[in-house]
Amino acid sequence: MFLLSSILFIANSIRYELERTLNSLPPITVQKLQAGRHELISLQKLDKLLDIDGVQSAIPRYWGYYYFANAGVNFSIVGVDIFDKAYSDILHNLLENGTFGNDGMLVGQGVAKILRENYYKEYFNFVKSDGSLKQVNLAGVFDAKTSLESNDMIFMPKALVQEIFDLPQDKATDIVLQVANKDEIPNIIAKVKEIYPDSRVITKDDMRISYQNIFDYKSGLFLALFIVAIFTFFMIIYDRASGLSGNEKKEIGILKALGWRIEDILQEKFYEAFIISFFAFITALIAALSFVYLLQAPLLRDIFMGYSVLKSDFDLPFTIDFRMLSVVFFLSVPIYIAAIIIPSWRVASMDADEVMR
Amino acid sequence: MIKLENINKIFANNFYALKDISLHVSKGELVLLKSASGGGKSTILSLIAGLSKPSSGEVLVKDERISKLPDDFASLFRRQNIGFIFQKFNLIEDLSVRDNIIVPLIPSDFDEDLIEKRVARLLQRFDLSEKKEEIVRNLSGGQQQRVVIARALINEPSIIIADEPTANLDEKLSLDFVAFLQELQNEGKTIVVATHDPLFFNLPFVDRIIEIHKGVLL
Ligand SMILES: Nc1ncnc2c1ncn2[C@@H]1O[C@H](COP(=O)(O)OP(=O)(O)OP(=O)(O)O)[C@@H](O)[C@H]1O
Ligand SMILES: [Mg+2]
Repeated sequence: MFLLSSILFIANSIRYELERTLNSLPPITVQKLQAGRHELISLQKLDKLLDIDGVQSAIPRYWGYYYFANAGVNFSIVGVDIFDKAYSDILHNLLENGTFGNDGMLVGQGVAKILRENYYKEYFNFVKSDGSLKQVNLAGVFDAKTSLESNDMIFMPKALVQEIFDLPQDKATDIVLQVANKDEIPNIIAKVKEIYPDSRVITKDDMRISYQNIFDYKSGLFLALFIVAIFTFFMIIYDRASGLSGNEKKEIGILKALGWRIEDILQEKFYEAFIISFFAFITALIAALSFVYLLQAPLLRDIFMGYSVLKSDFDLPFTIDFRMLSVVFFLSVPIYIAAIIIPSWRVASMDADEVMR
Repeated sequence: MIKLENINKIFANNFYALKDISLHVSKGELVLLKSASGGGKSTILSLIAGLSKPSSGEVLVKDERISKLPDDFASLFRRQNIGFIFQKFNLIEDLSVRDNIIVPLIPSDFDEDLIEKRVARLLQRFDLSEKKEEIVRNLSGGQQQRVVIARALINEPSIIIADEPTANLDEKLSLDFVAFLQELQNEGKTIVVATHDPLFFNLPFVDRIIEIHKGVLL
């Protein structure tokens, strides 16, 4: 029951994260392809993209991966326009402390941790493509609650990203389109491809599918574990239901011989089973809650989080789904009670004489 | 008070544990059922207490056809009228002395005061007051036997049934039991004791000895 609840809690937390991540994804992302690979996209395309009917805005994004050799991990560096209201709002929400200046960066908790382990508390020296160093101040760390999505992210002003990655001034990594009407998305995609045949257009749904795939893969493992847990539980139930021990039978026989009616015996057994299973339920629940949210589910979480390049920590966000709790409850307590009551009833309806022999 | 009419009790493989038994026990009588092991004593006691049903024939207790009563009514009747002293004690080993004694009262919803009063009286009578909260498992054989008797009396039944009550007792404790038995008789209870213990067979206060051999009355 403990394992069961733990798994449900983790799955739930991850599903919750996934939903949040998906909701924060841009509806349409336009990338330039060259020789089948993602290339920088020219900012000159912005105007034409904006001209497409239904496109509300077209925003260039500047991002890339920075390999942090000391820890052997990749960080995503995302350049933002600090004057862009859309971005500054999001960042404001993400921000736990610190302010975002012209020469500062905001990092996810995972990044912050690795920097700290490598003695960078206030700043970090990025190696530019010409080999020189660029010092960027650590202006703040994101709130823990948003960790899965922003854990390995570094946000900094786009000018810094351009400088560190040596991006040409007239190009961006990709362009994000916001649309007024979701139903227009297929038309917009078709138009983009018509105007710029060398583009790859990614929609939220595409992303959703690939995220979902990752999740499904993980939830496959999850399902396996879940089945094992359920199976164990039902083994126990089956064991209980398939017969009472000699002692339990004898006890029922004694009660009956002392003048207890079948209903008296079953009532007693019901209370007993209810108390036992309810306690087990509460105990398992508390154990699972502390295991998942206080201890952050050692062992189990690795299965869910997958084998990301970035083996750093992030918190499982705390969510309680009462539907899920009631599933666990109705899977355990009444079934356990039934597993006690049914065989007890069988024994109690036999002759007391027979039972006690 | 207790009447068996042409009772047959047949177990698997057409085995007759009792063959055409008829007997009668009057109110206030103390009757012994005597037979060698396997003679059918326990089977008769079960029928009287409604713990099992005859294959044919009728059992009447206090004018109630207990052999025809539905299971739950038989339980209720047993609870109100019969105190059973089992051969193997049949105590609930991990409950306390007090809790074992009150087991027959639990389904009846008596009020706490009444229960405690009765328990106190019985504990006193059977010299168990100091053992009240003791777990039954930890008691000696003689003490367990006294708990069994106290439990049989808690419902103030008019009929006492005892199945080989001295089988697990040494001579001294057996004599104590005989003394209890006489007390109960003096209180006017109707008593049936199944036994093959010679100790019982020349007691002056025994009213009658009924002898059985392989399920047949002698
Ligand atoms: N439930 C049963 N199923 C099959 N046979 C039974 C059952 N109950 C009793 N018998 C048999 O019926 C016969 C009489 O049994 P019973 O227990 O009444 O004898 P008893 O006189 O009480 O013997 P003991 O002195 O050993 O207690 C025995 O041969 C016993 O094996
Ligand atoms: Mg016997």
